[in-house]
Amino acid sequence: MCERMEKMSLPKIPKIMISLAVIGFSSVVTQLVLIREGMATFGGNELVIGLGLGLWLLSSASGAWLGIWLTKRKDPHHLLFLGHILLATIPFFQLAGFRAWPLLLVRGEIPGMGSSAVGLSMILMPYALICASLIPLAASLLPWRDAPSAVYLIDLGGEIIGGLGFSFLFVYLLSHWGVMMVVGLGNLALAMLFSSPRLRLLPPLLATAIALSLPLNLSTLSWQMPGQKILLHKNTPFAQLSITRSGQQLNVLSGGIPLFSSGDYRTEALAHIPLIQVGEGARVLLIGGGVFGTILEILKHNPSRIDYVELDPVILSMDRQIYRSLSRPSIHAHVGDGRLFIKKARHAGIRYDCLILDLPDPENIYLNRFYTREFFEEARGILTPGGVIFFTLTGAENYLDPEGLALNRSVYAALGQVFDHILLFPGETHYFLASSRSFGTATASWVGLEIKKRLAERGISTRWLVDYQLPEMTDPQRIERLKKLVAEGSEEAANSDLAPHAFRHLLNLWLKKTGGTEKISWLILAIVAFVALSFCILIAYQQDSLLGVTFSSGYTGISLELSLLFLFQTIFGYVYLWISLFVTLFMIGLGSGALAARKWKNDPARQTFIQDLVLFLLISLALWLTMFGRSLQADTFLSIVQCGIIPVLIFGSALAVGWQFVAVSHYLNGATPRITGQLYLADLAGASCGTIVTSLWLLPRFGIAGILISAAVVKSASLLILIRMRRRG
Amino acid sequence: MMNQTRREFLKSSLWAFCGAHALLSFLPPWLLPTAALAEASFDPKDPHLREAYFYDRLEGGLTKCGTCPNSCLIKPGQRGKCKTRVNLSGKLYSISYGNPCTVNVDPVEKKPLLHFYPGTLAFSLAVAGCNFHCLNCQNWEISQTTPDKTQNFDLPPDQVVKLAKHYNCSSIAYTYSEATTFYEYMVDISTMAHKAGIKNIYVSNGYISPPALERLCTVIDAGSINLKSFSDDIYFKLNGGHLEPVLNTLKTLRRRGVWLEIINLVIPTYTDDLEMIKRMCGWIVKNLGPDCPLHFSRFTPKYKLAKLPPTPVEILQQAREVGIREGLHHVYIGNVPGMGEEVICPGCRKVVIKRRGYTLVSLDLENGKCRFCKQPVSGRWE
Repeated sequence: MCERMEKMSLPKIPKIMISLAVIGFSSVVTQLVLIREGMATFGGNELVIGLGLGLWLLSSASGAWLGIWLTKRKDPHHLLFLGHILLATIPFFQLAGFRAWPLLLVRGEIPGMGSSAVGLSMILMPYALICASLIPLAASLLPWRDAPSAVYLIDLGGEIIGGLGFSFLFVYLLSHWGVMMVVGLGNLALAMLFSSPRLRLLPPLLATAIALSLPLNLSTLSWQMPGQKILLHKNTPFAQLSITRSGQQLNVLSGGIPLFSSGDYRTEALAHIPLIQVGEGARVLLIGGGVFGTILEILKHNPSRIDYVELDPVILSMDRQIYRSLSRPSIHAHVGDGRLFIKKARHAGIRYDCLILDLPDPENIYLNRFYTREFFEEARGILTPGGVIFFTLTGAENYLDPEGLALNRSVYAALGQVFDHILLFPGETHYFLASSRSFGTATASWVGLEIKKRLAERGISTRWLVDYQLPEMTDPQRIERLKKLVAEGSEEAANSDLAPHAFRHLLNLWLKKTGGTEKISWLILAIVAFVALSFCILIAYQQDSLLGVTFSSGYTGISLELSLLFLFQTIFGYVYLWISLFVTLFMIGLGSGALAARKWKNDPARQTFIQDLVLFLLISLALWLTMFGRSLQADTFLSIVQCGIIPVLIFGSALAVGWQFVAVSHYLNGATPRITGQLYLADLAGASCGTIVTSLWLLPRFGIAGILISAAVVKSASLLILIRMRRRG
Repeated sequence: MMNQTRREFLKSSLWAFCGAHALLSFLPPWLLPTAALAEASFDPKDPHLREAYFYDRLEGGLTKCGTCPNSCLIKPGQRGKCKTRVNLSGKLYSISYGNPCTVNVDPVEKKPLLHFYPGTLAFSLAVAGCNFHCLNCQNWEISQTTPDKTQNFDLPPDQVVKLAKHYNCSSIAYTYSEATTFYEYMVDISTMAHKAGIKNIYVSNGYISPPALERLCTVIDAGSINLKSFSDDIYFKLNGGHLEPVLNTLKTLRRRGVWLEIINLVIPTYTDDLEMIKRMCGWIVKNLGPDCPLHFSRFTPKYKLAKLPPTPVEILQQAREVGIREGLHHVYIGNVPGMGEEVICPGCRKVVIKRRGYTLVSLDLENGKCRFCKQPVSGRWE
């Protein structure tokens, strides 16, 4: 009996391998789901994303360390069983935790960075900790000499499948709760393989509970939308979109933030101010927002054609439930990135009389691209000689905060470098109207008054614009004051793709509003200093500089990946398919590098050094591409960059990082879980630092080039360590 | 690998710590968070400082501010909760005198006052500061900061009056931020304005101490007071204040004959409870009279309260109906175009004042009475 139980309870090697693959799969899928939920709760800007991702990686690093301790326990199979049970069940509490967080605050309040940091830590950390701790534990059950590299590969394989599965399947078909059900059931199946007879019923019981939990999805979601009835909730690759009803009013929310409510007439200004400048029968290009009323207002001017570009196709599908504005024959809706559309239109020789941007403020690096000098140049290229561009920025009815002012100045400076004639309208929202054609002697005030006259001539009535908004927009004193502040005020660097000043100012404004300006800086430095300090102590304790090299490669790898993704976005726009492929390519690169290192085991010290050098060279190449690649215009060069250079850089950097990871494990010459744990700790700690520093500090302040320079500095330090080691023999 | 001795480990840790500290120390200041703000030094002779009109001097150089119900106990060198009053060597000074950060000419309807000299202009100004911390503040840029941090005009009281006359303004409105925090400035301007025949409008959250209000009532002509809710709990949660002092302010303004219009912002899930609105309207009728105009204003996401959708229009309509049922004669809806802005005669129910937006379209009043039925319509008319 005991022998049979022993045979039954002793897992075979394939079970461990499957366990590792499922751990990798669960880790990536759960991370993606929870980060997206975190964005809905705390905000979708790079600060929150970077903080969330960084905390996840940090927790994983701590988990790897915990895993080393766990391997010393007597019953690793039981621990694996428990681990899979927890991986199956915890995510539901985490989802509920994110959705319940607003209940701890004042209802409807945007959490500040302090609250975000606490919330993200408390909710994300347990899963990441447990998940990462299982890796050294599972590795301890593998009898192979080079277990660390094998574990790395299997885990990576699971992550690749998880990443692809989420990006191309789950996000389109399932809600977040549904995705967690899939992950949960998979982990419970694994738990069955490790369960003792005593606990054999537990996994099926839990599976039943999970299967019956689906109604909780909507009830927990409703905590984020108080006082509203949820009519539709949809996951898209870009956001979580909801349509709700409060009384008779329809609301559309993205990540819990209201995008649109029926009875909102503020789209009138967006349409009528620019359309008044051009004749009837104009060709109009509208980027973003159209289904929320802007198209209906534009149609009042009888344009000959409206090309409407929207990134998220689900928003287009919402038109059926809102204004049904897309059914008119003159409207041509396109799914995709607006800036990419403009590039293509330019090459095709298409021209527009009016370009309207109905977009949010530059609150992330993607949106910042629509407020840069480079974008305005591209926009000018598709406008007719008398064409106009029109967009909005956050304003203030009575007094602009210094960050709000700096934001407006940086965008105005960028606009002014491209268009000779700009009019600026004041108010709670600022309106920018620019053209290469002169507005004559018109001031903003005069133009505002002309709007009223011409609208009357065209037989167009408005509910809000003429009677409520125009008096303030055309107030000569307000206009003069704003002009002095923004246009004639002190020098502010123009917003550009590589120097996203507008994004930085808007982030600072957001921090100010939510009460976190100084706290976030301390938080960044505290986390990074803590991690770096902990690591220095660890290296000093272990007398193991190689861990420092692994740490630096973790930092460099993530920094390079993020930089290249941002660079791709800057040049080519946000193309979900390509971004997902690149992330997958990075993971494949890691795996390929690890495989190559397993094959060529001779002189791991030399391999480690070479990969470090390769990383340094790749950083330099990426920096060159950043500085000069954006200005490339020719199709051939752009295609080479899109399909050749960037993918090669991404794959190459991942290859070097993966290769080096395994080479270091060979160098350390051990198959012990301790080594596996330490390597994971070093890699993840480095990646965590890279994520946090990149997202919270480097990107807003110094742009993509700043990230790459920091990676070069870190990698140089690592190279020096290796050179010193080689000299010592 | 060889583990270190304890001494070596401690030595390495110390080096690591020193290295981190050195890194932080030598970073340029703009990379680091700003140091905790050093308290700005104020000179009592600064023309933008004025000794507070209402405060008590206590032992040990302590002062107790008497301008608003916060009644801050302020130590020397420190400021009160609103941060616009500072204790300098045992004397309390306002730092909000003659330094408005925003100055505009607005239609009086924008205050919003619909029964106060319709069609006229109000010279509107604000000094930065507020004694509340409303999560949905629409002027947070100036209310949640202080005059020493904003770019200001230099406008002594007499200059304000001169400018009001220059722009043909019938009134001066103390608005945008919280007028109570620049009390001394407001009182001095109002005194001069009265002498020049210009009216004064106090736009406020109503959080002012009784003695200060009594004095203010001698020089102001109208109050546009935000009654943010009828629940002390919501007052504290959303605004950082309390209900009772605001109700007292309303009663005092009424008693002193200051023209009063009340604004209530209807916020979904907070102040949209019709039962609470009913109690509020009942209180207004009983304590201020049925002729006191009440404006129900539509909430839109702002500042920190950005995750709630705007108020559904039908809720505002229902609130209005509740107000009328409770006996109020003049109930309006704000922030919704073309809805509930007409002034109706309580007698014959005909429209006596018609507006398009903030622009006066028609005025059918004669000596403050309805042109049709001669019923007096409450307000301040020509």
